[in-house]
Amino acid sequence: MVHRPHRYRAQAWLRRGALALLTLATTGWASAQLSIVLAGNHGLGTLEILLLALFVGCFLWIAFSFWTAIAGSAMLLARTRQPGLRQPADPAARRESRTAVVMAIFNEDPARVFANMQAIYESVAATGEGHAFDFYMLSDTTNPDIWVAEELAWHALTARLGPGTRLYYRRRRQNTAKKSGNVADFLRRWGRHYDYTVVLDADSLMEGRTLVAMARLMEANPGAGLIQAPPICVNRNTLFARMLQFAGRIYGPVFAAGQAFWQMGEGNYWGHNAIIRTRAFMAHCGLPELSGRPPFGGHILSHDFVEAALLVRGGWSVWLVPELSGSYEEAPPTLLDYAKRDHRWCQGNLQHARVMGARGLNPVSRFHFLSGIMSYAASPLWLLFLGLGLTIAAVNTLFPKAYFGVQKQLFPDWPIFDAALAKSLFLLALGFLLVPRLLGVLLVLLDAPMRRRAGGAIRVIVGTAAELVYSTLLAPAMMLFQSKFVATTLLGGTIEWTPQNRDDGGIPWPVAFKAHIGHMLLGLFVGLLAFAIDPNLFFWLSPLVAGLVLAVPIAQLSSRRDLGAWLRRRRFFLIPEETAPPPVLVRAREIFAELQARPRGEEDGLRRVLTDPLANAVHKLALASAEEKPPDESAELFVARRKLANGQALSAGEKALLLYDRATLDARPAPVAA
Amino acid sequence: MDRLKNPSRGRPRSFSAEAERRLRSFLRGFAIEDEAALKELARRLGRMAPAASPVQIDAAAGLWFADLLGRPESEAAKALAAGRVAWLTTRAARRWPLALFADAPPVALAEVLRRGLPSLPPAILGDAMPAAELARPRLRQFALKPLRARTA
Repeated sequence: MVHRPHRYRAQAWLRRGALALLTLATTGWASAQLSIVLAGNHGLGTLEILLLALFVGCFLWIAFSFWTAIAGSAMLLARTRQPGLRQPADPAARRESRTAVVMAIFNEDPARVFANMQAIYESVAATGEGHAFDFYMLSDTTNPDIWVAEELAWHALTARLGPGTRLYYRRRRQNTAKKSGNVADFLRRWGRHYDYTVVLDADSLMEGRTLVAMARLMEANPGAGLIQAPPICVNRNTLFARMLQFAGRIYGPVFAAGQAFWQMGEGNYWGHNAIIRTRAFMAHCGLPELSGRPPFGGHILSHDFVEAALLVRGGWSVWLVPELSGSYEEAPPTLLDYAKRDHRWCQGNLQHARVMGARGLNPVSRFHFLSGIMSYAASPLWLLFLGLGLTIAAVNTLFPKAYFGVQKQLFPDWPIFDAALAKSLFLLALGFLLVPRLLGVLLVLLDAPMRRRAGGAIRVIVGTAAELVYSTLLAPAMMLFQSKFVATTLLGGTIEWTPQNRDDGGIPWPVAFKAHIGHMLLGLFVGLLAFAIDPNLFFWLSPLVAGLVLAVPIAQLSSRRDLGAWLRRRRFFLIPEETAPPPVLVRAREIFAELQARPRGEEDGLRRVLTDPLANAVHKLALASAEEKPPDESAELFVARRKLANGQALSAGEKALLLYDRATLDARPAPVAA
Repeated sequence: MDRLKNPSRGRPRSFSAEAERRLRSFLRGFAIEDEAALKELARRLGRMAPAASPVQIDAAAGLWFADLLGRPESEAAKALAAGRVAWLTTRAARRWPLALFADAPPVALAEVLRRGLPSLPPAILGDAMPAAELARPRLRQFALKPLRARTA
């Protein structure tokens, strides 16, 4: 039976109404001011009306984000919990419910992901609630060498954890529908064994107490279908990632609390670090394949928003709970990695245009889709806005207005430009962007332990100022990247969903140059054009021009690990998780270092399985426990066997086929070509 | 061990070279390398799997491990896979090379193997996850719905 404790709903709509009103009012006021500035004494032409329309579209999102942050700050200052989400009556009671903690992995470094899993496992065991949790590594790995390494890492981990360890490994033969398909496959196989499932990404880390708290929250809220713990970015060392971590840690809580303020039980799912009610998810969140070809058809890429919307449609509530600490993830190490991830997310979010009109969805869920789309569509809108603004300025310079018309007149038509109003409008927009950050800083400064752990008041303020300059310079390049992603997606282009780079490697200069040469040239062109039109215009556009012209050094220098480390030693961009690392992070790092120090052994997975009896046994055990059937006899299998017998080189696909082939696995150790 | 004894009480028979190779290959997978032990165990396994086909060898060995580890017969394949991992991990071949597939294996071996047994996931249930309906409402239906609701 679906529980519908929707008593919070009236309050939720009141909050949303207030936010909408404030957003519309401020956007309306700002747009009216801009129309006065643009109209001057000549009225609005077509270009000006277009510019105004673009401004309205862009400003709406800034204003909404601003008011969300204001609400979030108020929530954090008042230390209020979410009404409608019941707290567990007896937090110490022994739990009877069963929870599966699943980590979806895809061609990741086995040492890293198994170190994370071991740290989480031990952390849960330390709470004394280990009996209520089972753990699964759900592999979608396609590289046969990594596949075998994962199996051996799993076996080594279970051996380290001792008898009775409930940590299982399963690899899918076909990684249909990527991560959502991976989790769905788990649910079909084992879902009914568990009341709840915690979904983790390969870079996720969660404290045991957080997992226990999430399970208890689910127990206390039988109408909750999903509870999302906001993850904090940790563990990175490059300058780019450390600034991202810092920004997330200082400003992130304000936005998370703001989102929780208006979302309440119609929240969203971020794809990981969340607990789901298994039967609700299984009943409502089977994702169909969309008709047509990618990028808009095919499998749903950004599955999380859709799954949250389906849960809400099914009568379940979905909560973002900002006060759930102990939830971590890793940020992309460099600007180019970040952009690459953004390209995937852009494609996934734009695909939601196909879903947001689906029958029966809650209006808030539709808004989540729109919000996701706008987080990428806003970039081309801003680009158009800037382009149009420049065009208007150029037209006005090239074709100045006549002071005296055809009619005889005593006084000339002086062009009126209300510079003071334009400046106040600019300051308003700037304020809307800056105030949420300042509120985040203020909250940190008011929190003495947090302030100390972030390096002290001075360093927090200096760090925020530096991050502000950096993100201002970064914004134009990101705007161009995202505009390109939107355009290519709309034109039917797709991107391969590859694993995220999790190493702190820098970007070589030639790579940075190749990625940003277009940005530099555009920056030079815009700068020269603006200067030619009016030096004042150049002044106003200087942050944008500087960001584009300096895109190459910004990308390269920010990707450097040594710069990140140098600033860390000087206690800049510190986050509390660096100065007082939580136990699960410390443990994961220790285990990873231990695993890295061990000899790796044979790296060719197939060769290892065919020559090492233990690797062979573990591999067969993994196949048996997943109840994988051997492949049918086929020409491909025949060719692969022949190649193996002749010592010829095998492709990754052929190796994978042979790793399922019983005849091959049962054979005596054989020579395998690299 | 009764169910293992019944089909294997006959006289030791001689195997074809191919069957002998298969049996020895299988046993080497348990880290049995000593020639005398290989010979004895091949004879023993041959009694349990007279045809010495891979399927029969696996089935017989699976039943032996299921019995030893206290698993149901239906999980013989998994018992073999898990038992072999435990056998190798605990280096049982060094301590009890001739206990493999024995009619009465030492109790200590069973205990050691049970302790070294890797974790096996719960039974696969194979449930369905129905695909959600994501179609948009047809415009006409969408437009008429409030009217219908009002006139109903």
